[in-house]
Amino acid sequence: MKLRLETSLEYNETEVYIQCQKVDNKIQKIIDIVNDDTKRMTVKKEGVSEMIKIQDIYYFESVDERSYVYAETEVYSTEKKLYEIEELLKESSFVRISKSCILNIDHLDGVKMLRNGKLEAQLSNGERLIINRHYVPSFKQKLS
Amino acid sequence: MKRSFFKKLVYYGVSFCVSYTLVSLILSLLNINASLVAGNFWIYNIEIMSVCFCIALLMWLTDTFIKGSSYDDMTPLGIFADLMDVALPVIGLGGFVFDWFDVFSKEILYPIIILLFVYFVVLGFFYLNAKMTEIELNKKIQERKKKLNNNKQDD
Repeated sequence: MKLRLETSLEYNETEVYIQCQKVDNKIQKIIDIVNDDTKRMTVKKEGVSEMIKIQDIYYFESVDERSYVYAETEVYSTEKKLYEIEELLKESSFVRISKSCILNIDHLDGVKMLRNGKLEAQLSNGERLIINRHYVPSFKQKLS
Repeated sequence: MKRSFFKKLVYYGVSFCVSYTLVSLILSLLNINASLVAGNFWIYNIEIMSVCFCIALLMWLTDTFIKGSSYDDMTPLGIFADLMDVALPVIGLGGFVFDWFDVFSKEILYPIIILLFVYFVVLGFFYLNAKMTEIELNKKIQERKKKLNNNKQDD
């Protein structure tokens, strides 16, 4: 496989151009790496900015008008409002489950029905979140 | 905390309104109001309203102080509290204060039997419905997890 790399200050945006006969495993991996780079999010922890993979995020929560990002064990903050995050991730595995929470269903272990019509979501890191009655239909739709 | 308190208050306020409306509707349909109250329409309606209000109030207290909101977490204490939410206002207020029935005769058995029957039928119906939904959703979640794991292995 030939590799051609051009660097110049004239390029405002990095562009990856692949020429191939067919997309094999190797090419697919390159595509995944390139795509994966766009599926990251800038978050803050103790004032320090860092990029985390969106797929590693378990859920977003809004507390006192601040948005927090929950990964398996870490908690970060983000400048984005919950409605902006919802809009940004509407085509992904994230779904709004209450006024203050957006859940990644890829980290869901199971659900339990509650007596008041709400659902209890059990996450793979052991945490439990409540899915409000109002958001149960959209949650079911996302799963199917 | 404040928002959740307010939401619960609204929820049980609506429950009170719905239950009072339904009871009035059922009694009107059965034509019980006309034969029973004869001239005491307002008093009778205020009595029904008081009982419905007490039931909603007790349900709110039970919900606040007795936790375990999943069907699997239901305890005998929870079931007893649920039954008391209705039994205390109906028997206490309806029987002792409003004289709807004689609490010291066999008449008291009727509201108790109806209460137990309705409670367990409704609970059974909701339990089955909840379990079916739970099984269906968990099946979808497991299928999704399986698919995700397969994709990861392929990579």
